[in-house]
Amino acid sequence: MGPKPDRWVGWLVAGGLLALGPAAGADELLDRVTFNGFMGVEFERQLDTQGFGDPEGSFDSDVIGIAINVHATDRVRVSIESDWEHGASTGANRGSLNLEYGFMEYTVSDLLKIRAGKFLTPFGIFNEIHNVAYTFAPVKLPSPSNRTDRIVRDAYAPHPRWGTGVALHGDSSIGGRDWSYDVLVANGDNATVNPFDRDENESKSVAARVRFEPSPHLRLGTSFYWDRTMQTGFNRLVSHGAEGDLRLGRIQVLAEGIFGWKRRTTGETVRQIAAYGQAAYRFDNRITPYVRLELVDLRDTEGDAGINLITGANYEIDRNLFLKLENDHFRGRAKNPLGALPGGGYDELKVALCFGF
Amino acid sequence: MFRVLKATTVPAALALVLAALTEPAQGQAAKDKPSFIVIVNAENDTRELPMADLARIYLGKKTLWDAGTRGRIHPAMLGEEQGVVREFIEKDIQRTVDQYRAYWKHMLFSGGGTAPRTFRTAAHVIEFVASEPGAVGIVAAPPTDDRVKVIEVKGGR
Repeated sequence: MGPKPDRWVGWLVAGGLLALGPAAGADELLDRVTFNGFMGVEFERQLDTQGFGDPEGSFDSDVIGIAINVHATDRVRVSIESDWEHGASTGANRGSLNLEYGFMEYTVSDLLKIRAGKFLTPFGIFNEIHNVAYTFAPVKLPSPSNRTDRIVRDAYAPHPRWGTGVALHGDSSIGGRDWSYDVLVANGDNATVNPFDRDENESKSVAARVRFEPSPHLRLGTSFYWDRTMQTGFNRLVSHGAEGDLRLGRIQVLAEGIFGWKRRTTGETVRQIAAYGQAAYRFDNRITPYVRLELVDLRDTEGDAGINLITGANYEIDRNLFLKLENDHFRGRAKNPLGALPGGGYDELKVALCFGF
Repeated sequence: MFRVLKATTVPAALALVLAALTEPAQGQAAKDKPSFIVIVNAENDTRELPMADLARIYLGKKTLWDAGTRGRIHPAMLGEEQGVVREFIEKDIQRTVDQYRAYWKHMLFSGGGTAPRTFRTAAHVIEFVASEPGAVGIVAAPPTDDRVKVIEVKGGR
């Protein structure tokens, strides 16, 4: 077994600092190392008497995260981010401490950066932003990108959140239009062993994403994930994604669609489609109203589709300090447990205070 | 379900479109020559830079110099709220200042790299560029410090 996850941060920082060499003076060291971080505190309350939210109304010490970048040389960088979630107290069901990512990068050229370590899977718009809430308008990430079970109970995640392996990243332009790519070859998901330490099979998972900017205001992208998953009862996971990010002055529109399938060991497949669209407008007074519609549907089960319509606004109280207030409106069709609730679903109030530096 | 969708999303979408039409877009470009000055360390071989490359440097997409040591580019600038930098972001990067900040938050916390360094005064930008061979800086007026030099920026984005 390798070191415990919480020790990875220490090892990676120590490695990065050692790579700076004994000649690095204090000023030079400070120039090459950056520390950033974020935190978020939330309050959630289910507004209907029945539902799957939080009827009591609870505060949530959602997350505190620290990101460290060490530019050891002109071409070598170590990048680490670690999160303490839900008031991590190391006991059972008392939060968690996660190394979200920790990798070394060697820049051959801007078109070829080679990375090795633990990564957030490069798929779609939001997975790598994960829970850095001050970077996006609503309180939470879109459920269709990774927490589809919030809308359809039996739905599956289209890809693991993390992977350990080797990755490539590149940026370039064609005819003055920027494009980029990411590829991650990793252990994939495992049922019985730590997937950041061992693999259960010879096949490696592959995640890939290509993005193209036909104009400085529009970015389009497509993602792919393939894994011979060892999750109980399944042996294959394939997901495709399409994304768009449009900025028209102060308006930002994001949209993403993810479709794919998971194959059971018995040979049957479970097909799933998930999508969301989000629009936000930032006023001069630093208020940003937003709306997001999320949809999840297991294609092989008739009548289980569900949605979440989020309407809300955030206010930037001070630089990088945001107060968010929104209503999540969950509704499901007849075979979705949401659909069995009075009114076909429930509403939940979410309030968040988040900050980054 | 769809009645609820219509009732809430249609007014919200209309409000967004109306708001966009009634407020001027910040990124409307004029085609003038840039009012800002781009400086590099005096040891840097670079004499000119296409505007597209300058924009890509400040978006973290171009991180290595083409000439000389081909070392890492260390971008620096005055704070985003200052006139020349705001103009560069809105006209040449074609984002609002808030969108530019949001872009770098995403880059930073997804492991993509670190944002350009920002300084309160031009003297600090010049001092940083003078002390760092791979640095590039954006200031409002030509510097008198001979440890740095002005490079020409050509074309639009």
